[in-house]
Amino acid sequence: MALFKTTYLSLLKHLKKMGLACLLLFQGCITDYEGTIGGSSEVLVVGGILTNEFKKQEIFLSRSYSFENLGPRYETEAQVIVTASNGQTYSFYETPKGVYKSLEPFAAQEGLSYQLEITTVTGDAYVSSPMGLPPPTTLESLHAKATTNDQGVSGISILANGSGPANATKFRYDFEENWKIIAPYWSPYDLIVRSEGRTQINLAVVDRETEERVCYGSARPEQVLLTSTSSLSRNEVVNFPLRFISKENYLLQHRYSIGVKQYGLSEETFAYYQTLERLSMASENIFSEDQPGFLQGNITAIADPSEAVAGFFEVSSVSEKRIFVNFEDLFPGEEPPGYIVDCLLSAPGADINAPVGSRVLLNAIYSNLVRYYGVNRGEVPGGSSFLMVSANCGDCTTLGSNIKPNFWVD
Amino acid sequence: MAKAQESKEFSFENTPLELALSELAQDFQVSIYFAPEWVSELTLSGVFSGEKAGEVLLEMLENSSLNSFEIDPKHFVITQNTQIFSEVINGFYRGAYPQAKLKEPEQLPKAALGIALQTKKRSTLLERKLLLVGKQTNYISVNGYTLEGVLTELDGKTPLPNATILLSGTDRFATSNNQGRFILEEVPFGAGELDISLLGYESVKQPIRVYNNGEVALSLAPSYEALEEVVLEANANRAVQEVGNANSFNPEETKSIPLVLGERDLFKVATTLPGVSTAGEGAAGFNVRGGKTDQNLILLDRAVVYNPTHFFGLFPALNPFAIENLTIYKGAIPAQYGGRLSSVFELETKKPNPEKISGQASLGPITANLLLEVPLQKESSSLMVGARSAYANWIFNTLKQTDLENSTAIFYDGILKYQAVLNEKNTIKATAYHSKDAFSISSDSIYSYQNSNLSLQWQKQLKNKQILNTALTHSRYSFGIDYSGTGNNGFKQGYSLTDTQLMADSKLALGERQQWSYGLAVKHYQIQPGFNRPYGPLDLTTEVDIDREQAIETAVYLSNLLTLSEQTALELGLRYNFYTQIGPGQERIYATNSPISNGSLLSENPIGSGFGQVYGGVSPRISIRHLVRENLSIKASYNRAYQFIHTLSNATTPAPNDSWKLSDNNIAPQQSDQFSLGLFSNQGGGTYTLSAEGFYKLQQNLLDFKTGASLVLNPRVEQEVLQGNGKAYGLELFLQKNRGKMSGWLAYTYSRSLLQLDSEFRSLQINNGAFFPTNFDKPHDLSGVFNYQFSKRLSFSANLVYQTGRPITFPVGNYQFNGAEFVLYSDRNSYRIPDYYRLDLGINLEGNHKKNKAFHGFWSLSVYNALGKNNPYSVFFINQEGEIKALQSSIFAVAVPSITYTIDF
Repeated sequence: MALFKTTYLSLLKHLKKMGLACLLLFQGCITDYEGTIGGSSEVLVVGGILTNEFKKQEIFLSRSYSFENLGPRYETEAQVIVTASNGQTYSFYETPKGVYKSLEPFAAQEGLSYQLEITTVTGDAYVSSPMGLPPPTTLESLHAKATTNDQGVSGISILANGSGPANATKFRYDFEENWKIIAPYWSPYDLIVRSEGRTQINLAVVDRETEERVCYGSARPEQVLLTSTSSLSRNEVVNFPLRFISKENYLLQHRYSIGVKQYGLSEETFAYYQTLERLSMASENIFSEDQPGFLQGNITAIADPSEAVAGFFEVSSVSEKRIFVNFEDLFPGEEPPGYIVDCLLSAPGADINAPVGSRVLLNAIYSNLVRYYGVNRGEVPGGSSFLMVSANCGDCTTLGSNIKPNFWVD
Repeated sequence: MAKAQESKEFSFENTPLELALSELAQDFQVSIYFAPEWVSELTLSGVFSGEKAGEVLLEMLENSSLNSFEIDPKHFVITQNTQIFSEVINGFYRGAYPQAKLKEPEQLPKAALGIALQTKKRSTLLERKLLLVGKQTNYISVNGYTLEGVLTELDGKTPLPNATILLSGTDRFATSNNQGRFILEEVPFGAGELDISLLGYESVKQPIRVYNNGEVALSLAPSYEALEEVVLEANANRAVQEVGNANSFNPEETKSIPLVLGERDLFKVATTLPGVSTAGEGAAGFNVRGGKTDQNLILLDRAVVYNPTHFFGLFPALNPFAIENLTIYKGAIPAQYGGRLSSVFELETKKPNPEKISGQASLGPITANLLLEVPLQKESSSLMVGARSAYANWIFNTLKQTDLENSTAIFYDGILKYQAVLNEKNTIKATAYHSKDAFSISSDSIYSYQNSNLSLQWQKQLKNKQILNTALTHSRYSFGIDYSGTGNNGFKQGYSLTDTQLMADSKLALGERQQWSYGLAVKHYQIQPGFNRPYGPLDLTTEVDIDREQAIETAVYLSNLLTLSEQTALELGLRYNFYTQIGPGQERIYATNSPISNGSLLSENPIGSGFGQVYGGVSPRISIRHLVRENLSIKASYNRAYQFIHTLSNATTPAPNDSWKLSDNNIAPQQSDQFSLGLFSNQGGGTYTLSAEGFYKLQQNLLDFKTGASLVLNPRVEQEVLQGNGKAYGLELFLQKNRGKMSGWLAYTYSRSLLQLDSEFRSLQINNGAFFPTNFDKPHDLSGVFNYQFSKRLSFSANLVYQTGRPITFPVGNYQFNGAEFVLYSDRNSYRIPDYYRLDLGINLEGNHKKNKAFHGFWSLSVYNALGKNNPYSVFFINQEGEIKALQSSIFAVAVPSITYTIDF
């Protein structure tokens, strides 16, 4: 599938940029851009999905941010209300990180349309176009299957089956995957530096205080997962591939879980996601010159309709499921994949004679590159007595969270 | 000697006159003086008799332009055209006329040939002998005389058409026809001058002395010695006097312009004209007066060439040796042409030499090129074969880039032309052309594109000097990708387009003041919009085959070139276009109250084998020229055009895999209305040509695409299309020096090209429905081409280009949406890449100019981008360790030297 998306066009462009350019230059054909780039204005970004679940619905408000900033500035003190076409109004209150929650739980209903109205603290008013709830769809089943992908790699595919009434043909999938991580070179002890002086070093082996052996990794999809059944004779999604995990991937080492939400989308919402996906694909490929542009959603500034507003107010039906996968269930008798990295043991010296700042062991501890594993009993010949291991082999929090998700079943 | 005179009789049969004269001289024991070149070409047939040498001589010369003068019974002088009078005729040519008062016979020729001597003297000045026209009589016609002539190459045989022959100091001029013939009327008695010019040949001023109606044979030397004179216009006067405004030039003249990697490129020269530009180096196509690249009609011997470039637009796909002439129309497009909005690039191939085997060959850093002209039947039929190829894989072998180690790139093109004069009234020409590019960037994939053209032309002379031109052309363009894959995912993808056209045109002159042109063209299109198939039997690729599209485009035109007065001429043209989609196919009907999408699709109806959507339109083509002074004219024109075929590309710059799509019920034809007004002048007796022309163009239904459109293998591509209005305007200034050691031109254009994509639906608006600059909007565009001739063999040339940077859409920040980070883009084209400038230098060294050597060699050494300016081709952004970084790519960031050797034989 991926290859099909790597269209002729982008490959051509690739050649054009790399091949042609470098050929004629015999030196760097791609250089730093010398021109000036305009600064970004902070555009209002609206997110949030009103669903048919009975719950406190959520709307996210933030601002776009320049490349130097790591994250957005959340939009605070805004007034957010959702008006239904039957006259019902739902007010929202502000919670941290730009999340606005409805005062009362409610579920979006079929046959009604909903409009989002936002007034920012500066008094600027925005309104979405009215969005109706598409007919609810059902995520029928979710399963993992041992397969070989297009590139000939053996692994497992997570497949979804869904269905809906004839007039609900647009589907979007979102998932959160989780996996159990066990640090292979975990030790109950830590080596800490109590003090470091010019002639004196004080090291201590102490009990570890936090859970660093068993953790849970998590990830979200890297792309927008969309499918349409409008060209099919029956409105059924059959074996939609959500995720492929190679047999060698450490995610499958112990236990893996994936929770999937299937959204039934309106045509307009589907079209928005489609464009969002294509635009983000373009930005992934540095050689693509596909015409990019500002993607206008369904939010308009009342005072100035030409003002750019990013994001989308979505009203969609949702259906969700979660499964757990063990490697041996799919590949019985086979060796599960190894850990994410090869673990290297070392025994760096404390280098008491070296000047402050040049002591290898201490510097490695300061910069969290290594964790204590035990006493060097000759495992590392010629090394010091501290047997150290790279941090991600001795401490699972480098790869995941040490809090077990509440849905997790071992 | 005292013998009684007896009548002598001479009988000749095709005897060279020189021989006949010497026989006469011997028999009568007299001396006859003449310049051998006057008689060398003449032969004599018939029986001549008389008692005196003078009588016989008079008889023998009766049908020639030669006169004889009897100095005394034993000495005769033959003069050409001039009659020697024994006494001065009253009122005749004062002063300079020599009288036969010389006594010494030995001196006679010299003296008697006073005029000839004078000629000689002038000839050193003008490098041209005086030509005497007509046999002198004792009368002078007040109405002037008719001068008929034939213009040929130096061989005296190969006719030179399209030359301009101007009677200096008057507005009377003639243009040579295909046989090289021309007629100038009302040429006054006495001394005059013909100003003859033709592209690729030395312009000459030919002194004449007219005595009577007469015929002249003129020949022109190819401008080897005048290579520096990159003359765009055949004649400065033509730019002033023509009603329309076409630019025309031939490859020979462009050969001293600095080259890109040694490849001579007519199109690159075209982009130095005002109003013609490209999106950048390596971008296919040209933007003419703010038009998209798909709006140019590129014709090779009347067949459409869909992609005239190799290697993404870096090199021309047409063999420069095979091209006789390129004519570019960008304003007043004659009614004969249609189907594209912005311009016509008409390429004519050479007439293969019917006399002897000749050709050209060149060797450059990228390609080798050979063109042969072979006579088949002497003087009536001949063949031209040309082939050019890039040295296979050379390009990528020079790369050190490891990810391109497996890359290969080749391209080649071939041309074959046959021309035959069947009889006096019928000439046929057949041209076949093929070009191909293939390249791969990894060992498992090959990309390719190719053009194939065929054209058959038949020229028939009808009664009353009418000529009927009939042509049948066929063009095919295709591209594809073969991917063998790593597992079972190999595929073959492709696209192809064919068009077949039948045309008939004729011209009819009604009196002196009206010249009618009319014609008919029917074109059939067939497009395979895309397919995707498994590469091998084991591949599991899903087969996709998008429905074929077919259409018929018909046009009839009629135009009249009206001479209203000596100063004013008007060309009124009308072209009617009729377009219909034909089946089998599908017609999709969408609801009109919502944006076109699968959701608004109401029905899909088969077209069957009948007609589908029909479009028609009338295109008026009006242009007027008014001569303010002999060397200054004002011209205005109005043009409407329709275009039924469009490229699909949502990339910012054109590429070879842009597919063409036919108009259907959801995609309306593009339309353009253009007004232009200009002043054309030449100064310094034609040394300088100046022009200033302004244009204003309104366009409708221009194709663009939704942001993030997906066009490849999309069976319902209309759902991605946006159509909007275009607006372009500009002022073009042009200054050219045509003659002298230093020559060249300078072109400056200020122009804007704007597009509006508005809709009642917000999702179909770009930039809120306001006009915004197109991807090729470059307000300032300056081009200069200079040549300096150090000697006959050595010349220096330079090329200067400056352009405003093209508009670009920049990422301006990030935003978070649904838990993921996305890039926020600016409004479409609200930024510009930095301005572009480039200087190219070239040195050209000719082989010696000795006659009769086996071949003529030509070295050209050029440095492209001599300043090493790193002009960005595109700007893009990468995420480097969480930091967005702007990078630019360029095609030529350093100076690129090259050397090419060309021979003519």
